[in-house]
Amino acid sequence: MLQFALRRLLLTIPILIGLSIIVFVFVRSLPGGPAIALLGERATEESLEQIEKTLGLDQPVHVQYFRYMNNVLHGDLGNSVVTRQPVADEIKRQFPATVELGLAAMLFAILVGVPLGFIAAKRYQGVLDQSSLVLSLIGVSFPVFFLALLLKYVFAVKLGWLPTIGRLTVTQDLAHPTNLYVLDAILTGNWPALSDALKHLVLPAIALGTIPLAIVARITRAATLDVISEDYVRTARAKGLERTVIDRRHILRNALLPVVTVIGLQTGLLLTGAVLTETIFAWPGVGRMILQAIQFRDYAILQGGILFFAFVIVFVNLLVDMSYGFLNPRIRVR
Amino acid sequence: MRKRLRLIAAFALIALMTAACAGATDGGDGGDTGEGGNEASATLTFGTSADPVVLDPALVSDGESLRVSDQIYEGLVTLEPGTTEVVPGLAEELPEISEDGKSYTFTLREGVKFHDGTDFNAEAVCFNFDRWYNFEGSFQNADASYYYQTVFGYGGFASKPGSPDSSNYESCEATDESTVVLNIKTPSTSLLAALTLTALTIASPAALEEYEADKGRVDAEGLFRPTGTFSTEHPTGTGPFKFNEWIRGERLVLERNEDYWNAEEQTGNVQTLIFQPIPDPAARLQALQAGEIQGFDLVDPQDYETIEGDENLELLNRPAFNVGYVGFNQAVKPFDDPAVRQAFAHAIDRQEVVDAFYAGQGEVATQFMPPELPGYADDVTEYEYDPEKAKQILTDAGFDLPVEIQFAYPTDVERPYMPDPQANFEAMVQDLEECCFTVQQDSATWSPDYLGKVDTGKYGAYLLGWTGDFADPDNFIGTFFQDEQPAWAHGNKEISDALDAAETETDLDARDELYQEANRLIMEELPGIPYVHTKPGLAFTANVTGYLPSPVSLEPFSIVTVEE
Repeated sequence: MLQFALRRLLLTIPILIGLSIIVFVFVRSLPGGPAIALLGERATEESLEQIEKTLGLDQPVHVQYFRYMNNVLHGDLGNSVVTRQPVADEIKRQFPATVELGLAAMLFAILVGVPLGFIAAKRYQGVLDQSSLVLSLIGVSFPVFFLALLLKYVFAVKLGWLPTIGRLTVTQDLAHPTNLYVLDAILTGNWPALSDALKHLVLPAIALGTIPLAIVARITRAATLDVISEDYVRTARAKGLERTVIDRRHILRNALLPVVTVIGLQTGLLLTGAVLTETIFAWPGVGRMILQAIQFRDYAILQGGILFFAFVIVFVNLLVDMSYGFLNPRIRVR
Repeated sequence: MRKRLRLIAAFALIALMTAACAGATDGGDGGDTGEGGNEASATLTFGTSADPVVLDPALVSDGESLRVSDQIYEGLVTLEPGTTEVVPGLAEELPEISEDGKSYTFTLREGVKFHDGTDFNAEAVCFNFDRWYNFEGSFQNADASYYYQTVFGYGGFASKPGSPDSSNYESCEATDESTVVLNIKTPSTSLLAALTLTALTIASPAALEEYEADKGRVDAEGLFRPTGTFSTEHPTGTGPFKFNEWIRGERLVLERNEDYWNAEEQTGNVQTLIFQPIPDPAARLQALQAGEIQGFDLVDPQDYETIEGDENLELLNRPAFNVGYVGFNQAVKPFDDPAVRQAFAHAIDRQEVVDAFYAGQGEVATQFMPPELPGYADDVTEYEYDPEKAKQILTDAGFDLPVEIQFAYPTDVERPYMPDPQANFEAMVQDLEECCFTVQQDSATWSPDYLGKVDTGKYGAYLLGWTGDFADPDNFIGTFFQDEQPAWAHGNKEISDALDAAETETDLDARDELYQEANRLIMEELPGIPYVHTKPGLAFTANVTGYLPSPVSLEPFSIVTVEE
C-alpha cells in the first residue's frame, strides 16, 4: 500500500511539471500584459517598459520560466502584481472558502444524488426513473451561471429567504480560527453566525452541486442496476432477508464503489465550477481570485492559482485510488 | 452502537437545518441598516467591483482604492461636491499664487487632527510632499505613483537611476505652524485643480512612519513589495470616516469620524460605511434588489431599464467626464487632407450611434472635452450629418468617389465612452460606405496591440477615447494636442501654441477664453471627431438620499442619509 502511494506520488511530479509549462505559456499568450492592464489608455511606451522591467517580463520566456520554477521549488510563488501580496498568502487566505463551498456542494450532491439514483434503479423504467433521468440531464447541461442567477432571483430577490452574496452578512462578527466559517461558528459557539453562514452557503452550494448531483445520481442508478441482478442478491432474497437489509448491505454497499470514484473525479469539476460560482456569489475563494487575475493579467496569481488547483485535483485522485482498497478488498494492491 | 451513531448524525443534521431555518425567518430582509448599537445612525453597504489595492492614495490609480481613500483622506483643496469647482479643503482658502506663478502659499485650517490624534499642520503637509518626491524603487512605476507623475512630471523624483531630476516639484516650506509654501520650477495653471486629486491628499506623518508606509523588500523577481501595514491596516487621514477593519474579499469597514473638523458638512447619518467587493455586475444588481447592499457603482448600461422601472431603486448619473472620438493620423494619407476629415465628419451619423449603443446615457460631443469644464466653447465648428455635403466636399477637393481610407477599432474591451466598440465601428463604416468612402477595416485586441499601434501611428483613422483625471481642460485637450504625437501627427503649430499660452496664463478668466479659443482652433483643424460623452450610472436603494455624483468620482459618503 505504502509503495503504491509512493509510486503514485512520484508520478505526479512529471504531471505537475508538464502542467506548469502549459500554464506558464498559456498565461503569457493572453493578449495584453499586466502593465497595460494596470494602465489602460494612460500607458505610455516608457511606462510600459519600466513596469515590464521591474516585473522581469522583458526576459525571454524560458528564462522567466526557469526563474519562476526555481522560486516555486523554494516555496515562493511570487507576489501578486495588483495587491503586491505573496501569492502563497493569498491562496492560504482564500482556499478555506473554496473548500467550504466545495464540501457543501458535494454534500448536497451526495445526499440528494445517491438516494435519487438508488430509487430510480429500484423503480427501473418507472415514472420516477424517467423523470430522474430527465432531471439529471437538465442538471448536467444547465449553465452554472444561469442557474445561479435564477436561484438568486427566486430565493433572494423575490422571496427574500436567502442572501445572494458573500459568506457572511457584512455586519455579522465572527472570529476566524480556521477560516471555515461554519466550523468557526461552531468552535466559537457563535450561533447567530452559524445560521448566517449556513444561509449564505445554501444557494452557491446548490448552484455548484447540481452538475455533480446529476452525475452521482446517474452513476448510482447504473451501478445499482448492475448489482440488483447479481446472484448474491437473488440468494439473499431467496433466504428471506428483510428487503431493507438487502438494499443496504448487499445492493447499496456494492454499488457505491463506482460512486466513490466519481465523487473523487468531481473535485476537478467543483474547482473549475468554483471559478464561476464564486464570482457570481461574490464568494471570496480561490476560484474568484483566478478569474480576477485574468482580468488584471496578474501572472503570478494566475499561475499559482491554477497550479494549486492542479495539485489539489491530483492529490484528491490519489486519495480516491487509495480508498478503493478500504472499500473493496479485492482491489487491494500488492 | 451503529444505530446510536446514526441517531447522533441525524440529530446533528436536524440541528444544523433548524439553525439555518431559524436564521432564515428572523433575518429575512437581508439588508441590515442601522442595526448597530447607535440607534441614531445608519449602516450603509456599498457594492464595489473589487477590493482596493491599498489604502495609500499616493500609490494607487484604481477607482476602488480612490473611492475608499476619498472618505479617509483630504487634500489642501478639494472640489465642491458634485461639481468641478475647486474649493478650500484643509487649507482655509485658495492659495495665494506668486507673480511668477512658481509659489503657492496656503494658509491651513487650525485645530484639525488626524485620526490618530496627531496635529495636522504645515510640517505634516510638507512631510507628504517630500515623501512623494523621494519615492524610490517601484514606487516610481507608473502603476504606483501615476497621478503624482501626471502632476509633477513623468519620472519626477529626487533620485531616479540614470536620469537627472526632471520633476516640476521644487520644495515645500513650512514657514509657520499653519502656513505652507509650495514651490514649483515652471508655472502650471493646472496645478490647483490637480491638488484636488486623491493621490495628493495628506496622510498622518506619525502613522506613515510608525506603520512603515515606505518600507519594503525586493523579492526574488526584483519587485518591490511594501512590508509596512500603513496602507492595509492603518490608513490615517483627517477625513469624515476612519478606517476600522478590512477583510480582503469580504468587507472593508469605515466608521464615522466623531471628531471631524468640518462637522457642518457631515450632514448624513452614516455611522458605519461598509464596502463589499462583488465582481460580477449582475450579482451587484441582485444584491441591491435583495437589499443586501444599498448602492453600487458601474451599473451595466443594459440594467438601466430594470433599475429605473423598480420603485425601490434609484439610478443616478455622473456628469460626463469623458470623450469618445475617432482619431485621424495625418501621417497616413489621405487624412492629411482637411477635405477628407471634414467629409468623414459629415458622413457619419453620430446621433444615431449614441442613441443606439449608449442606453440613453450618452450625449453627442462637439469638442474634445465635456461641457462641465472651463474652457468649453459653445461656438466651435460643428459638422452635422449630411452625406451629400460630404460628397460635395470630396469632389470639390478633386477626389474620385469613393475615397479609400483605413479605419480601425479595438476588440476585447469595454470603456465607459465605448461600451461596444465594434457596434460603433460597424455603424460608422456603414455610413461611410453608403456615402463616399471605401473602408479598409482593421482591428486588434485593445491591449497591448491596439493601443500600441495607435500610439506609434500605425492606423489611419481609429476609435479611441479618454476619461479625465482631474477637472482641468489641460487634462483633456492638453493631453491630446499640446505636444506632437504620432497618433495624430497634426503638425498644427497654432494649436500647440494656443495650448501653451493657455497653460501658463494665470488669470482664470483669460485662461478660460484661451482654452475656448484652442477648442475652436481644434475643431476647425479637425484632428479627429469627438462623438460622445457618457454619464456612467450608479444605483441606490430608494431610502438612500444625498449622494452627489461627481464628474471625477470624488463623492463623500458623509453627506449621505439612509432612511430607516
